[in-house]
Amino acid sequence: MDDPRPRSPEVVTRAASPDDATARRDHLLVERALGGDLAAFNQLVEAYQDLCHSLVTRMVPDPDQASDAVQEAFFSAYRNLRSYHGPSFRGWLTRIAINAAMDLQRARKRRPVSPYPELDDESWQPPAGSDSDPETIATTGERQRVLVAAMGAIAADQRTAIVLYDVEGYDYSEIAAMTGVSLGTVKSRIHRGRLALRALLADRMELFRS
Amino acid sequence: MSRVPDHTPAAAAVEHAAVIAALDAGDLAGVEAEHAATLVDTCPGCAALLADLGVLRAATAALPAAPRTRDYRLTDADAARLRPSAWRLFVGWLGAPQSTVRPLAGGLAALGIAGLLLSTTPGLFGQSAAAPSTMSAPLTAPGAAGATGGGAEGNPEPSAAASTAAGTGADAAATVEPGATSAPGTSGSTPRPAGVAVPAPSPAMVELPAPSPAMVALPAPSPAGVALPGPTGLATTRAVTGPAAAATPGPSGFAADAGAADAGAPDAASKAVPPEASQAQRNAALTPVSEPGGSDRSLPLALSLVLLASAIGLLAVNRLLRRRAHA
Repeated sequence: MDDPRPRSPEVVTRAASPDDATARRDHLLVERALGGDLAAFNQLVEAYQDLCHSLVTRMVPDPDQASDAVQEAFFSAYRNLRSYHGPSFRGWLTRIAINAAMDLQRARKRRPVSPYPELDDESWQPPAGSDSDPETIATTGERQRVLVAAMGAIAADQRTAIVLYDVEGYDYSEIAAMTGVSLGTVKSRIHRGRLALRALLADRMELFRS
Repeated sequence: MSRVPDHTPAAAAVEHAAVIAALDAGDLAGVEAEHAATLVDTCPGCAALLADLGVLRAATAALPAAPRTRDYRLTDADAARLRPSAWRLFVGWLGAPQSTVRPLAGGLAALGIAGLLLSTTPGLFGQSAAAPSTMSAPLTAPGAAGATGGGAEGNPEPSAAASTAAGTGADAAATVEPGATSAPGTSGSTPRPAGVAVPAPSPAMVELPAPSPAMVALPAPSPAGVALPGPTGLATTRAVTGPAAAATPGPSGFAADAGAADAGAPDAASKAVPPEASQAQRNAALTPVSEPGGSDRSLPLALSLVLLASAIGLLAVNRLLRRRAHA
């Protein structure tokens, strides 16, 4: 396979710290992918597609649109692999996925669709926990369903901030860098988003309190 | 009358929700944290809100993701479609924040400015760019002082008598006394720039029948010159045959100018033209097509402007693409 892009060793050298095995692996795979090895890039996809999918599906309520956003994120990563400057391929890819999800939500805002189609589809249920008690399974499923519905109903920027902070575990400064807003805006979005969730779930809070 | 705080949950949600949310997130410290804690202690709605926020935060963190139903690996067709084209690589280079666009633009701008300075600085390309040739000519015409003879030194305008004579045409020129041509202070001593910016022959000169070679040699730079040379006379003969012929179209512009003959002022243009050349040939030889060095200056000037424009364009495109990428 021909080399589609010129190699940039200096960029790859900065990509990873040598004491991190994952980063070293990513570094080698990126270098091979820059050399035109599609299989190397696909190894990176295999390593991070679950992470990207779980992140984007929390940000984008519609599963099909979320899948499209994840696919577009990997396309964008392959297209712009030369602009990867490290230090973490995971962080770089996560940022691309977040941008893809935010772009999709902006597009949804321009072209509104059914806000939460899985609520109409009774066949889709969030996976239950390991507890086999039917009542617990039902309660957990209902709790997750209403919470997912409420998450889909709040503003997209608030949802993104909450997912990145509460679910993905990024701190304020990382979220600010990822979303391109100030640190105060990130805090405000998280606070307002939680308050909005609580307002939406005010009638169903017993599910969570129990 | 002091306002009694409303501690109902709805009012608390409106008034204190932000404070409680910040407290729940751990974003308060010091006095603000104490104030929020007081709110929680004194306001049941605030306490309920704080508890609910904690529950929701935990539930959100434990929220499972929908299972992945698609394999996102790229196919060969995808890779072929996504490979950047040469144009895309070029645009990417132009818009890259750490590319060599800015240093390159800076270098081009420096070269352009230096070129502009060099091409407009006097003396760097043989002659002043700003000074017109008619101003520099008196300084460079060596025969001017000798040609003027005396009283007419530095007087570039033809005398009134000479103008009158010129207006009468060839007949008037022929009627002028021969002695008058060498008389200092007359029109014959009228200085004229030598070899630089020689104007086209005046109508009076064109109408001259060119009766003698000396007359033909006249560049007729001024109306005064038309009237001066007589058809015969010693000065005319000397101008044609002697070394003064070289100075014939010199500063004074008169073949019969004894001063010019004595001074022997060289004039390359007139030397290059044989005496038997036609008037048109002499005019063509004496009239510079353009200023010396003018074409030499125009090329670096144009190059400098092009370099400056390129630098500005590169910077503008770089800034535009970076702004777009940032957006």
